[in-house]
Amino acid sequence: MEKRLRVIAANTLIVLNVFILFLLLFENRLVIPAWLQVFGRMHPLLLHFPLVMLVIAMALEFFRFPTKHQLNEFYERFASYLLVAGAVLAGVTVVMGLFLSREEGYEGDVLDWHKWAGVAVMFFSSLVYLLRGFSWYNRLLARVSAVVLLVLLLVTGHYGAVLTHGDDFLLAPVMEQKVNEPVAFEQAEVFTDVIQPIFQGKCVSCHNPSKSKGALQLTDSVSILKGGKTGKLFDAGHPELSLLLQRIHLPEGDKKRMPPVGKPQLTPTEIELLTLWISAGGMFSRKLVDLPETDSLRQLAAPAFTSATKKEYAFEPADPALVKKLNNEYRVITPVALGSPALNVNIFNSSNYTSKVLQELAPLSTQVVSINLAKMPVKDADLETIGKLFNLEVLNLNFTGVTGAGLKQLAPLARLQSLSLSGTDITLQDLDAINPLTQLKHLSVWETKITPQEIESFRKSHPAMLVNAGSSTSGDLLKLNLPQLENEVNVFSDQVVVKLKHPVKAVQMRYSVDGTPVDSIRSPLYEDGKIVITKNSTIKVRAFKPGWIGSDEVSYGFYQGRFRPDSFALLTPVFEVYKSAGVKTLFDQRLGNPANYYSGTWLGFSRNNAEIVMKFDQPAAISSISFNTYQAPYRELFAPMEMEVWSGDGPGKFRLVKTVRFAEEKDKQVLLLQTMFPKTSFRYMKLVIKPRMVLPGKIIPEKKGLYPVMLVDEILLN
Amino acid sequence: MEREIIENGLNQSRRRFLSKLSLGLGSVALGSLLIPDLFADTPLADTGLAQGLPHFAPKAKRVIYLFQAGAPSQLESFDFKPKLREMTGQELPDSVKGTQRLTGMTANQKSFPMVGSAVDFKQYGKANTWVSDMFPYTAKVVDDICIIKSMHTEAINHDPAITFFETGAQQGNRPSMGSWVSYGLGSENKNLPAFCVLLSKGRGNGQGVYSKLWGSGFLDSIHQGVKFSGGENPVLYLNDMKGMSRSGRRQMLDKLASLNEISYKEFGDPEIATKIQQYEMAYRMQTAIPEVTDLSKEPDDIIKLYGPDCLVPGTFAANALLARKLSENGVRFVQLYHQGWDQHDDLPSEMAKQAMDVDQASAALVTDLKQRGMLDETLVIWGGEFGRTNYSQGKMTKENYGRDHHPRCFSIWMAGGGIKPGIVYGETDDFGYNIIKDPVHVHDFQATILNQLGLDHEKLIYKHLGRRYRLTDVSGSVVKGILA
Repeated sequence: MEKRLRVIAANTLIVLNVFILFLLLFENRLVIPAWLQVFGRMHPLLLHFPLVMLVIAMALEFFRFPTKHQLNEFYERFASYLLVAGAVLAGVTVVMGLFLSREEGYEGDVLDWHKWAGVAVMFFSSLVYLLRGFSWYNRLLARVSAVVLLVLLLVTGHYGAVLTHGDDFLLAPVMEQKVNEPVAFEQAEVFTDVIQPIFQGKCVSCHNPSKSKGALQLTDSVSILKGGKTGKLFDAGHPELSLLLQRIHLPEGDKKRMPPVGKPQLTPTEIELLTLWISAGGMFSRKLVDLPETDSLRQLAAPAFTSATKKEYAFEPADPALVKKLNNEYRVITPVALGSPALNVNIFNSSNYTSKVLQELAPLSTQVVSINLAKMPVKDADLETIGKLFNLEVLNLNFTGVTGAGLKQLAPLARLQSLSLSGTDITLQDLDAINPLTQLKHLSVWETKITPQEIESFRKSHPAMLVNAGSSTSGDLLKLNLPQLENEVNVFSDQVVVKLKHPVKAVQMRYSVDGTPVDSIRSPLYEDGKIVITKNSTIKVRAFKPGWIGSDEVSYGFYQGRFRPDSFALLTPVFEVYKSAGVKTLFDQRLGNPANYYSGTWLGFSRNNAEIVMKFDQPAAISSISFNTYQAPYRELFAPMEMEVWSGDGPGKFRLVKTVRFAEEKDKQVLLLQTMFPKTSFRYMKLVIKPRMVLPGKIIPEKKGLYPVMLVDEILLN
Repeated sequence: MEREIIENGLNQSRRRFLSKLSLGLGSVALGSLLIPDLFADTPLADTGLAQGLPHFAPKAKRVIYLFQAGAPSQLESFDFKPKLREMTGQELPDSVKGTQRLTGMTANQKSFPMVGSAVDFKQYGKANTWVSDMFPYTAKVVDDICIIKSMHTEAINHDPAITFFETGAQQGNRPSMGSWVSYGLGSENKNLPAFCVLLSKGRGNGQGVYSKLWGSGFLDSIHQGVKFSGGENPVLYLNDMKGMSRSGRRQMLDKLASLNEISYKEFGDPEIATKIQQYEMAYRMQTAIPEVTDLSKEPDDIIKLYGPDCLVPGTFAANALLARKLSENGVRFVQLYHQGWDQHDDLPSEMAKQAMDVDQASAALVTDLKQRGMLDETLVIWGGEFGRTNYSQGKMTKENYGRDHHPRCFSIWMAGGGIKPGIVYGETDDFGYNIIKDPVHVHDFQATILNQLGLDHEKLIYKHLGRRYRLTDVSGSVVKGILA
């Protein structure tokens, strides 16, 4: 039985060898039917079996000849079976591999190497099996055979792996750092540094010279332009017509989708980059930095590169002790970043500025790269000092005293990139002085004597320069804000002079006191001290200024309260939420803010009456009481229901003067409640104001546990 | 004893040495797998990083943070959801809502009717960005700003959420962002605080902001934010009293400093040293502040740019203009708070009023910084502490509805300081409820701000009570996609 098996195996081996020879001879005429393709594609599956078997068999072969092993029957038989099984399987694997190689996309040197090495493994292992039984087959031969076969296996395996995973797959993790040298943004090229890495990472393992699926290679610009079997890869400027993007966007189940399921997929950003690249025509030799700053491709790609501001400065750092000495509260000198030799200088506080502030920087003339003098009283003479800071890149002279005459002094600043001259008196002619500054990229000149037309022409003659002309709003029509009342109180006893003000300069204010609407023509013009009020009145005011839309109308009420108690007290507790300043709130000569119930100008009561006692040193002849209340039912704020007025000549001797029930008035937020009674003189007075005790109507769940609150303010006595 | 040591040495056989060695090598290998940087250079922070210098060349030198306290609705500002408008009135599907926590204000609501924006949106700028009609001025500068639509946070109520934004933790005992920046970069202009705070209040329902939001936590108190007053004098008590000459003030401070130094030597409390520095700064601020805060010299163009309200102290517009002037004078971090964005009800009209307060001045700040050449080095941030729900709180009509707190997605914008201009980052679903692309956590946002200032958020640390703290706590990564 065992012998029969061995014969079958040996015969199979020979048949396989012959069959393979045949296949190799007629390789070019082979056409593989579909079912055989399946067989061929099992190559990567099967190959591991012969690989392992042959490795073990060769290890046994290597140590076969010490006599004790030779005499061990099991050792001998095991080695022999393993070798023949390995050789047969190797043969099957080679056949499969040959079938697979006939499929599209496999060609090139790597494939040839893999093929011939694999065939060699097959032949050589068969040979070893056939020869190892002869008596002249000795220890040396056995060892040489073992080593040779192992080397062949290694070579085959290696090239096979290169075919599947791409070049350098094995060592990539250790070599990565060397490959990805950080590219500076300024140097980065659109194709080489943005697009090619995407192909490299996600496509090239199947589309390279050795394995070009669909006859497509993505390794260099020539092959990319050439396209593959189905046609050109992209239609420059038309991403929607481009094969590349069509394949990328196919649904995941689709056979033609790229990259295929299971392989690393493109990220949305990568797809976006490819799309933008194709829309832009598929550039191969442009630099990223040459694209306009607003370009989407540039913006999307930029974060991957080292920052443009990460500049290296070649000069030596300044003596730290010197920098420290020159640093003070008004002249701040700081390195650009930790470890950088370059220095930024900021000058503050104009009252401390003198020319010396700049002159003292002379020892740092190499290191200073930026200086900010905005709003300092810098004179033309100081620019000569600045001209000596030859490494200067940024100079801010906004709102300083420099003129065109001084600008010539800046000519030595060959590295100056940004110059700000806004808010100075320079003219267009003065800008000739900056022509020697070839590196200048930013210029700021708003609020100068240069007109918008001149700026336009300057921009045309200096296309590379970004000219900052500011944002003029002089043409915008804006509405003025409201006039403000300067009077601190709006309750008076005899008369009051109304004082108005407006935050904007040179504004006209017009007003009315009789309730008529204010307009810009007929209404009287406000002047200081002109409005004197002797009775309850409401002043309406609007502000006007040429070039602006007139303000809205604002009303300020003034109320007479002829009598003020000399002392007062509250007998009942206030509601904590609206306690404001306590009972003083009611007599502070300021009415509750009609627009704001939580402004601290209203006094609140809930679930108890408000009982207020007032004392007058001189008997007061009072005939009316009024006060404001704020109502907002959705905030549980309700007007009082009832008030009792009591008066008397001593604290314990009150008699009821009047009881009044207030009528409901729902449409007003702020109500003035007034009560009149016959004029009497008294020294003590007590008010009992009664709030609503429960919420009206059906109680909804959200309002459960809530009670009405009564807000009152400023008790006016006349 | 000596004998035991020698014997122990003799017991170390070759076999034992090798087996121990392999164990050691194994654990070293494992260590390097788990902590990739284990064998990299020692981090800067451990070597005693020089404080007051950026870790790398910064894009931004300063920050102006226009905090919209109360949380403006993203659905009426920058996150346009036409589908949501179509679905107005329909119930929010449970599959979208998920099971996350809702506030007590709507958790018990029986129905969650979706409601689309009552205000229209239009497209602006080169990227055709959608902006609501409530923000016409911001719409004009849309090419200069980067709108992030995919912010999300962890907190659900105002105070913890603002605290989280400002300090990186919800509890409120940590240093605020401005303090960290002051700690990391120091002051640019030693005559002014490195961190200033300006408050304003809109007409809407105002949630308070508390001084812990600009506190320095465990950092030296020199780094805490200085709150400016909203009145005519932004810094109170700066003027010398009558009869006090400047030289007299100087002498007084010198004497005081020498006394303080004595007690510093005695007690060694760093707060005493801080106190001396603060007196000195206040002395210098006496001349610096009037120069900075004087608005009378601002040309009409600027007044129109920010709107006339910028001349009314205490308004958002005035604060925005002041922020520019402070920034111009080297203040590292200017923190504005505009309160009143909490529209639980009556949202369309209330939010429109709030937007009126801030829209023009916010856009003006960007324009103004740009024309001064400062936008490149100044990072402007606009946004609230969370977003608002896509369903209505309380009663709902087409023109009148409210929105509850929503931490799962909201929009903010950033401009300048090396942030990519004119883009929209991140996306939310058609319901405007969940993020579907490029989420940005608050810690990511903070990491990005620090990054733009040249600070590595993982290296800007401070050791306190035995552990190292950082603004981003233990998470956060720089949002690379918005960097120019």
